[in-house]
Amino acid sequence: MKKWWGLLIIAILVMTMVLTACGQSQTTKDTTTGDQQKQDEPKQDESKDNAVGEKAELRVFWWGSQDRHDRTIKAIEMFEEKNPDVSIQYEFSGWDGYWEKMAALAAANQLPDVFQQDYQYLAQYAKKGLLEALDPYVERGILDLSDVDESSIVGGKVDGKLYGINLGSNAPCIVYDPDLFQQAGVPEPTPDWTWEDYMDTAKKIHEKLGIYADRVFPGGYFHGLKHYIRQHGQKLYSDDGTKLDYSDDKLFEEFFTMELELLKQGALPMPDERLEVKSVEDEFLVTKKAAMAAVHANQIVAMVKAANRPLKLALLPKHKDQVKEGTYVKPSQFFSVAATSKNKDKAVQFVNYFTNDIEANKVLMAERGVPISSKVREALMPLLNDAQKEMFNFMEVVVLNSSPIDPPDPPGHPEVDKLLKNLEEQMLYGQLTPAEAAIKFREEANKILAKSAQ
Amino acid sequence: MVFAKGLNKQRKRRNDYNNLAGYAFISPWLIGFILFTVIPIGASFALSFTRYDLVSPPKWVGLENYKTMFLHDERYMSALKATFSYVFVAVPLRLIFALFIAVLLVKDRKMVSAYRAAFYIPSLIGGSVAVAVMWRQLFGANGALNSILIELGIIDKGIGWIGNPHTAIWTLILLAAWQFGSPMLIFVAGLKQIPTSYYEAAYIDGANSWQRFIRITIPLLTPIIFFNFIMQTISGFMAFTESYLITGGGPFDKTLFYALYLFEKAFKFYDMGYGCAMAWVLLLIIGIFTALIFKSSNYWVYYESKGEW
Repeated sequence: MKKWWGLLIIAILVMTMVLTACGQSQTTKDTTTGDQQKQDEPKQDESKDNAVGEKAELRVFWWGSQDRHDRTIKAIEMFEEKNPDVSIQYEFSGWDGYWEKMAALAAANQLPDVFQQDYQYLAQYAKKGLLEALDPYVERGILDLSDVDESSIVGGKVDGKLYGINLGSNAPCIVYDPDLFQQAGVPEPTPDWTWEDYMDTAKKIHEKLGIYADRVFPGGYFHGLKHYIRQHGQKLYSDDGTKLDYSDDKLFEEFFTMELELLKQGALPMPDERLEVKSVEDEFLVTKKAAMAAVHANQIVAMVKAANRPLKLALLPKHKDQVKEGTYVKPSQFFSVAATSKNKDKAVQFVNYFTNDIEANKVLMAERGVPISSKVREALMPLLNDAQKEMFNFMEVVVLNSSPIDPPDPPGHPEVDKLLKNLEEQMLYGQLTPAEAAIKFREEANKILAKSAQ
Repeated sequence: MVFAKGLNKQRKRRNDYNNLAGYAFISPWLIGFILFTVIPIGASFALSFTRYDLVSPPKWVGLENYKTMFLHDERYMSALKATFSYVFVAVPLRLIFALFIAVLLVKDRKMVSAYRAAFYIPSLIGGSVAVAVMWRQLFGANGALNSILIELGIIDKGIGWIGNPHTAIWTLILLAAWQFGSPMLIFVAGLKQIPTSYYEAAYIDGANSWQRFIRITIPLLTPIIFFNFIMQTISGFMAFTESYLITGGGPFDKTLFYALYLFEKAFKFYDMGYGCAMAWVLLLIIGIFTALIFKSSNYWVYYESKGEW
């Protein structure tokens, strides 16, 4: 009897291990190096054969929500149909962990042929020679930017050369629930609403409805501070990226004092509650725990889908004494081509397809932001759902109420971002006053920027 | 004499042949060891004196990384603090639970091996994302722990245990204590080695179970305690996954474990040289603590074979 028991348990254990192992290789499309031929993936109907010699192989990586993944995969398959001589191996993830992966790939000289880039990292990667300059391809006609306005291209330029193609115009903004606003008896934001209006609105919402005004302060700790500084005609980072540019620490103080005020009133949650939100679909606005969400304009599409009710977009508040518009047109993401890519022409072709092909964009449906090609925008207009129309219309408002984007964030930016995040949490927990934090920020940030500029 | 010389030559040739065969057999391992362990360790040491961001060639900066660490880096100090508090609390807690459960499980009860397996499982699945996600759920503002506490009336609004600077590190310490499985198994093995005759003799002499525990079990277990103590301390200093996945370094670095900060510096901020320097300092720290524990072992570890006490 005992022997049979033992055998049974061993059999179950082995089965479980085998099943989990098999399960792994099906659901994760992980290939650490894209050129390995002997993968256990041939049974997959989503990834194509890796036959070298017949087909040019491209690796494409991106981050995003599930919605974006589904759309992008469809667009890729359509590209492969139109271009049977190209086979694409794709991989995607969330924002979390994407850049660590890219760093590891960069170190191994294995960056994907085409990968999604962000404003925060574009300069860093470009200056280290990891990206292919795209200007020659524009000249040769492989990359067609004839329907694209200069303002949408300039964000992807570093030191005068084009390193990333804007996948959709975007802007930091506030998404709000007009219904909740009505319930609270608060007027909806207008394009000219100011910080005073915002503070009033936030407090009233909390008083009347008992929910939070937002999960974070407008713009979050980083974009918000940048926005506030821009409104006073100054910049966060110096042009050469070696130090902070703005000279008045009072700006830092004022900005975070406002946040602390709302926190005291209970209109904003403490940082520990914020941790619950891991993706756009979890936002407090979606779950009705807050009436607003400070995100980027393109995220309204996914939020409306998750919240299943109409939401609207508002600009970040203006400053009543502002000398310049804080809002700017931001390239939401870019596609960049790796300098080490072995199929550069094909890679650029793919980027061109993404930018200009109308059928593809009908699938992508502006999920990453408003398309930069005017022809594509025209073709999409009749197909947009309410959330998307809201986004398109909002971007028009942004263009009218914005000033040019600042130069790309310098290489030390990720560390400065972390520093600011820590300081914000310390302020929220009362361990630092905004005045003290302002001084500390300047000290530490300058150290970081100076070091990384060497 | 000529005859003997011939024999020696033969013997030497045979020995050489044996040695060669030995080397041939371990050559795969040896090559792997040199390529993947020795060379990277050497490279890490060299890189610790450079500034290296992975994509541009390393730049020699001498002792600057080490100086910055100890003199100019506040986050480094936070990391040290967080790691030390974790090790000094989590390791003893883990060992205490391990011993406690081991004592319960050493008797041959029905299904005792099933219990042992069950208690061992948490430490198997320890570093996984699944456990981290579950732990975040349990201790989150909307999590199970809060629901229980609210039901019992102890608190009336959920506390975000993970994001709260005072409690964040305790969630991690608790996780470590929960994963007492592997030291527990080793304790079980050690307990079984204690001859029951000692217990019988003590029982006859009128000792109660507490006295038997203190006077017999613990002293005879000290070699095992020593072993577990060292192993757990070493792995405690290297803890990474828990803080990476659950708190991300915690509210303003309160749970920024040393290994996590190293990871951030090297892979998020592209300062590889600094990361290497941190790694060697960690080696030094662990080395010092291990040496201290070894030294102290002369005073509290009892080896039957040596007969010292």
